[in-house]
Amino acid sequence: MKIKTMLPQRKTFSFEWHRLMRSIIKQRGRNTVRLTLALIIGLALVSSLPIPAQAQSPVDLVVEGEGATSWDIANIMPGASGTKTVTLRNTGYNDGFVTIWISNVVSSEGTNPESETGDTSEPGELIDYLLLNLSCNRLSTNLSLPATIDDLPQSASAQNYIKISPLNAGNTVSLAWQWELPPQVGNDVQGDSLSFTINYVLEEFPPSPPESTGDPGEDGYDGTTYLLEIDILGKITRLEMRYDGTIIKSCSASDPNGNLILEINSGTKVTCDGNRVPQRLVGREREDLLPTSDSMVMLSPVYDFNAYIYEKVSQSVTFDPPLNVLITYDPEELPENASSIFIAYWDEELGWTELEPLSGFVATAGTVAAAQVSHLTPFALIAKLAVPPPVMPANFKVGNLTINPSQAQLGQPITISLTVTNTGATTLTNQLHLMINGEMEAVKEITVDANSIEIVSFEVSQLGVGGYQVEIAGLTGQFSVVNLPLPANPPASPVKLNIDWTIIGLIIAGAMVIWLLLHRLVRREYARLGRDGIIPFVTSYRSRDVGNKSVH
Amino acid sequence: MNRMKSKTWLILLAGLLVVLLASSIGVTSSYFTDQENSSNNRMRVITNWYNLAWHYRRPITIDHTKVVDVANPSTTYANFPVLVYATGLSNIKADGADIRFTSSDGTTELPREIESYSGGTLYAWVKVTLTKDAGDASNDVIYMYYGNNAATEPAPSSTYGSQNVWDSNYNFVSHMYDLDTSHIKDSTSNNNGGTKVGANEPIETSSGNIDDAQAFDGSNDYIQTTSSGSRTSTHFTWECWFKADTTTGPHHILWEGLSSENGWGAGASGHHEAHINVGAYNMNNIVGCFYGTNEDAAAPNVIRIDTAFSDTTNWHHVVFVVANAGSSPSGELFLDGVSQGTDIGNQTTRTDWDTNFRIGRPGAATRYFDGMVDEVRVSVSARSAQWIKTEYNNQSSPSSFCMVGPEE
Repeated sequence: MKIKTMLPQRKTFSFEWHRLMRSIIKQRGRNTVRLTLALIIGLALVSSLPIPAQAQSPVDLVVEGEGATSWDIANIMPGASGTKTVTLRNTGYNDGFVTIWISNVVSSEGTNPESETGDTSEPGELIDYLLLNLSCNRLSTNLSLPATIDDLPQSASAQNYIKISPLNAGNTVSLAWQWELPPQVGNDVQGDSLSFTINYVLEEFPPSPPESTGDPGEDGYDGTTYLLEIDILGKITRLEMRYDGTIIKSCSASDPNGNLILEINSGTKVTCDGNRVPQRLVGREREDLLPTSDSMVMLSPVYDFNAYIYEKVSQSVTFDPPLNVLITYDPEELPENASSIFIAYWDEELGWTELEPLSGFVATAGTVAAAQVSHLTPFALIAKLAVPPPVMPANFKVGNLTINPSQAQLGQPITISLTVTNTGATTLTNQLHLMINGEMEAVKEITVDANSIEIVSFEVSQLGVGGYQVEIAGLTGQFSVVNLPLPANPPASPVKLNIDWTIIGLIIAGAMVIWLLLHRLVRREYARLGRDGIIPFVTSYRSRDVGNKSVH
Repeated sequence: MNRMKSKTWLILLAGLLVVLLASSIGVTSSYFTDQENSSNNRMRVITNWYNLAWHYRRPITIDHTKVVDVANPSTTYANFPVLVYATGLSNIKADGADIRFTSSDGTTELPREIESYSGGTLYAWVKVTLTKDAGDASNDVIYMYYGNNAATEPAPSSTYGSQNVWDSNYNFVSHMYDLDTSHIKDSTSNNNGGTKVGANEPIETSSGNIDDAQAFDGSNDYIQTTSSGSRTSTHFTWECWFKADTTTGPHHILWEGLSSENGWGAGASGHHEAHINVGAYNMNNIVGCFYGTNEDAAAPNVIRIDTAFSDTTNWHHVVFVVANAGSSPSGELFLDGVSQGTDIGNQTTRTDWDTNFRIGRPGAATRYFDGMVDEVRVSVSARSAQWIKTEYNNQSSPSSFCMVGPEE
């Protein structure tokens, strides 16, 4: 666009000068004129270059408000606090985000240190106590605010960050810097001063994922690396990746306490919507509670991750192949009736959905549960509680547990049955809980008349390969599900008919004999009739045949 | 010409190409950023604050018009105990232990004695050097700091503790509240506390002129102190606030001398004593003072000054100053800051004084004081009239003498 607007200007300009120079040429030497002309054109072109730069920039940050100018807050007392408001405006024409950091921090001891009770040497102690907080509805930070000046980012690329995102073209956002000197500070800060600069950088959202800048190799990778920053509860881990989001080196990222670990192997491709490559993954403990059933206990916080593509939030990040999620738990906190422990992800429709445990991790046997995750939706470590079976009435007797088949092919239904006898004088109703591997699989309500026997059957299927323990009202049994390979299908063969070829041969032979006999009989009869002249055509018939041959 | 024209256009075209390239590089080389900053933000903690562990302070302005003649060479206002009275205070520990005072610089601590702090009402004594009087255009200012829950009451003998409010000129100072029902406290370091003749005799009253006081029944109540400084000092000054229930008949407020004496020198026996009295053996409705051995006021060997007095409603400040007691005694009586007269005597010996300073009765078991007594002091120096007047101005109306400013 810039170029298009420049061209007409330059064209008109050069044309006029060309006509002017043409008249000069008549009076001066040609070489001089050419040189002059070239210089003028060059100057004109160069002077035209700044024209687009002076026009509106892609991003242009305007900082206004009380806090935009230098603060000078004097006579601060312990317990004192205040607010400085800043507005950030993007007057450019592209969307962007703002990174904030502190620089030029100078901490000075007070001029009245003799009244202090502690260290009176430089630098002053105010820097250790003064707290700054930042409020903004678009604030993104891995800091725990309020924080001291030292804890705030000291550069745009610092591990700890404060970002305001997005700040779209033409938009304004308000920030409130809140400062506080806690009342508990001692006299050490008396007279101390602190000066600093707050930097705001508005950065344009790049239009596309990072691109390779070198000569691509065979697979298009030129060796340029990019960083994927994983922020789990404030702990930053940086991974090197290729331009397409492929992790270059296996790495683990964890929260500050090591309770949550993400293991990402080299070759894993990390992408968001549209195959875009994120720059940051930010994991936080979800504050709002997601519903759980009565038979579930959360053993960990609910972790929720967002991916950031240049500060644009994307909640759909994909790992291919999946990454390993490891969550540490305290066995002491396990409920006594915990029947299983698993990592589950949250599905808006299905609720908490169990993830297959990672091979080698038996959650109930250790302190770490692990699973593979391909999408970072909210996830947590959950303990499932065993539901105690109902107590059978004294007059109910159960027996004859049968499981058929005891070894089933994958997908094959299995029938589990038992007899229930009511030895009492009245009709009884109760529930039977079918427990498989300690978990309730099905419930049936049964009613048995007085002094009667009922056979109760359950049918289960959809079980995976493995061995299963069955328990119903104290009766136990087991079965297994296998996935035996089926015999290979033989090639298609003709339909096997149960045919006695001897008989058929005899029939055919008989038919041929009959046909020969009849043929001889007919020929003999024709011959006789012919000889007798009763049917002359027989002769003509044969003569025609002969006659054809005799055409020559 | 045509050749030149074509070359010119060629140059122009090349220039355009350069511009195109430059522009395209500028557009696609990187994405744009724009940085702004707010620089040189300064945060400065207050200076000249006593200690930041004390979160609050109030300026206390001492009305210079109520300070008398600081330039008078006979008066020194160094170590002047200023009564600070304030109400409606808050953010102070319940016992007032976190209250501190500084000079006008905000940091130089001053000795203080908290007479009482309760319910936001404070009576405190602060040792101040007064520098501004009516001739000045400005006031002395001190600061009261408070609001530190961790603070504890300074030890009485510590540099800024209660005893150091009272310099060595003070031999006995009592704010006349009970240490217990049988004792009162001496605020100085001299440990000259007093013992009542019996429990609650006299009895403490909250209706004092400065917080609590002692109420004497006029029949047998008195307090015996251990103060004997007046017996040996060159000069002495006795003072107190009193409110008389009667001005008829002799009643001794303050006394020291021979134990058998009744207040006026016991005639020809020549025993010394000194006192401040309401009424006299020979005169009702007076306030008087006596130093010598002869009850005859006109006798040359005694100092006796009487002034008419019959008020049984209000508190009054009475001061008896004796100068050169051992050589050429002279005395002066002040009532409510105003001199009531002077006298001279020639009795210079106090060797037969066998009874220490006493409040409420003379040596003999008669002539008890009937009324309330507050703020009793014995100085072993001769207080000047300016000092006494300033004391009166302060203690008669502490809230106008010391204006407590807003909390900072």
